[in-house]
Amino acid sequence: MKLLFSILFLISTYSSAHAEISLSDLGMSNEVSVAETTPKFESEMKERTEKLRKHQVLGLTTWGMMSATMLTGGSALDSNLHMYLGMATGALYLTTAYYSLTAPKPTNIKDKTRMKWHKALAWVHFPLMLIVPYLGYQYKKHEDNNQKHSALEKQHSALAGALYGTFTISTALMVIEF
Amino acid sequence: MMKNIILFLWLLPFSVLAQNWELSSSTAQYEVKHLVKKVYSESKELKGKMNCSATECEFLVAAPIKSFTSSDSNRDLNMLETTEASKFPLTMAKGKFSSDKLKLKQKWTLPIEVEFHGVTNIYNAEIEPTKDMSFKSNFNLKLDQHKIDRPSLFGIKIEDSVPMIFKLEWKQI
Repeated sequence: MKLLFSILFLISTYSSAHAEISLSDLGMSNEVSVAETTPKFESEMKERTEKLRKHQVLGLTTWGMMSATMLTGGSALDSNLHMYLGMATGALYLTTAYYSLTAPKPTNIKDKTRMKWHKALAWVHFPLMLIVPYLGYQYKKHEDNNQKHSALEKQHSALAGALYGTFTISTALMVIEF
Repeated sequence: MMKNIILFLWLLPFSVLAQNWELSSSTAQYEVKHLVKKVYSESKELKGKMNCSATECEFLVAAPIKSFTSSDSNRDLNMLETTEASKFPLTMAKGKFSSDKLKLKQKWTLPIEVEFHGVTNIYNAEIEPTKDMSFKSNFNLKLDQHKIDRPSLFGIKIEDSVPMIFKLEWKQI
């Protein structure tokens, strides 16, 4: 009787070694969880992906346009090119921001360090993006009318540099793997 | 009685050499290449089992697609969208090989069946033993072969070939 049990044990050991391994053996299933297949979740994910893709492309285009604006800063009083580039940059910037701010964010998404910095820098470059063009406009208007410049207007170039710097870092955080 | 003894003796070597293993602290990493950048993503949620008889070993390794994370959560979301992780939540690899291979100290090649995005393809994985029952394995996954619509940036698609690197540690169960 003992021998029979031993044989049965050996057979079961041998057969278990040869049984086809399945996902259930790993405690996994290929079935999709309900939470991930709700139409709301699916449509939110699709919308988010689309909007953030546009945000990414427009963000890089804005950076290119902003670079061109910075390069033409020296000749701002001689031609309107700097002003037009600045206006285009502003429009692109706001469109870029629109796609980021309106992208739905499912609750289970947590930002990582680089993303936290990317967002935190927006608190710096967003107000600068509103102030810098206004100061530039004021500077040019006063210059054209031979009027005196205010102390803040004179900071247009320095603030534009800060804007370009923070925006560049913010863009680089998303483009380059540090 | 004699019959039982013969059967016992016949089965004995198989049962002594039959060993079952499961994965412990293992990782899988993929690398996506684009003209302007390279991106790495890693999963530490691999599960796997390997059953070995005296002559042959058979294994299955699987990981949830959503367990692969990079340094950018938005990019990870794009990956879930691109790979249709809501329809195909898991990726898995399985294969069989001669038990003798476990004793090898040098690199060897193993044909593995990889299921990803609901499509199964065969790849030749390079296996490198690192220490006892620990292996480093790599192969190049082909996105087009798995019917993945490759994402693009500025009109340039990511490369079709995605190097996969596995660090697998097996413990006996």
